[in-house]
Amino acid sequence: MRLRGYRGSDADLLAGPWLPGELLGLPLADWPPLAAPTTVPPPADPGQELCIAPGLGFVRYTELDWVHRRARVEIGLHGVDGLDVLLKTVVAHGFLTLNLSRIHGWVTPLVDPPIGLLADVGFQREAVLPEATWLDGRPIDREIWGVVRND
Amino acid sequence: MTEILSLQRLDTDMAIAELKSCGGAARGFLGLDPVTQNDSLLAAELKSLQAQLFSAGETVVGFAPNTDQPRQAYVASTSADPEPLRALLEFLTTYQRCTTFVAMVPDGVENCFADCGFEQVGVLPRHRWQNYDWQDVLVYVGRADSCRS
Amino acid sequence: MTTTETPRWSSRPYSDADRDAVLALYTEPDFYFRTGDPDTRPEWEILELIDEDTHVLLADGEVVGLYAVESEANNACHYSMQLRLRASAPPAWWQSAFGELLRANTWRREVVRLALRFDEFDYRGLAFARSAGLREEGTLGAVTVHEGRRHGYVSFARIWEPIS
Repeated sequence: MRLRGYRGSDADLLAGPWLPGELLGLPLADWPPLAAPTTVPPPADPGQELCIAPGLGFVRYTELDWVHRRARVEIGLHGVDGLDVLLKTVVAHGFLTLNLSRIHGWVTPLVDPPIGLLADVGFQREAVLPEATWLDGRPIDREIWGVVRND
Repeated sequence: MTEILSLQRLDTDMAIAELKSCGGAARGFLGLDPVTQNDSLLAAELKSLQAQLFSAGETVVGFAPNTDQPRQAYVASTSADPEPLRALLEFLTTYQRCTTFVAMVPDGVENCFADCGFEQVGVLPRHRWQNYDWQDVLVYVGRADSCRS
Repeated sequence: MTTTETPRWSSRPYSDADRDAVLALYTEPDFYFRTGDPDTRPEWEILELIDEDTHVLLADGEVVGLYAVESEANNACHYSMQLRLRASAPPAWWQSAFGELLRANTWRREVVRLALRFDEFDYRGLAFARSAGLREEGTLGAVTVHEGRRHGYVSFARIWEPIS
């Protein structure tokens, strides 16, 4: 798999029923029909790298910091097929194409993300932040997961 | 009850000047770095974070709201003295209705968070590059009911 | 469509693409969304009633109403809601749509108070509010003129126990 650059025709992929900023933004089955979908803006400046995973969704490297060579990654997917391959591609694109040293992102345990797939590509749980976001009428915990390039 | 240090709100230009005057103590303050970032970049970052900064004596303290959870704020201080941070937490609890606080502090820098009741909840490895080397960042969390003086 | 079965609800922020459907709603003489005289208002005036908070409400993909939710106070978790369905929508649709709107609006934020108000002459709005379990908080009298008489509006609210 290879990520490709965003085009205006991909705009529909930038909104969906997943938590904002989520490293593994997968569709939540119980998202209320009248709740606004989460959206990310189309890329318009060098401060973020937004790529399209063909047939799946978007991968956004944001909070890009070229001094510290790191980025926070958020992914929004409209399906779960091929997630393992996508995550390998996300790490490879971050480390090799963007030449980052570290990528990290938010994981929300309550929505039961497939963290085993994250661990398979080198991500580790680095911090647990209580009450870091809001879902379904209450504050819930969030975790920071990250992977560091070793070379 | 001990007397709370008074906070002076800083506008953006003054906040940047004060951070720069703190030198190395301000590196990593809310993720900023007044050594490697110029004034316009610092101003843009402060605006993006919706940060508010205050002076408390010789110390600069500040916060940025967690826009995903308005009862949580990211906090920072340029000093290891706990009193300025306690004043900030008191302000955030009273006027912003914050219930939890998060601090991200470069490892190896003396800080006041444990003294103010914060608990370390993680480490972000090699999160920063400084002085020719990678540097970890420590993550602390405090709760309003246990962090105020 | 006038069935009493619960439809599949969806919504979107108002856009120019919804203009004809929204203008059609305002041909009904009791489509009281931000006006007491909907069918006599010209197009420009109707469009001025629609702001960035206004969403079109769709039942099974068809525009059947409007709603808007606005913040009333920073940090206080206090919101107000305006909701209007077209005349052919049965009372069960009002209850169903309101239930989904409550769920949607508490999904990603805390809500402690949600206020609604209906004009005294708005019988369908009042009937909905009184059957929805809302707290009736009183009437502010003589705030508008409708069909030659002065009327007030009736305030309703739902209040939740703060959890943060």
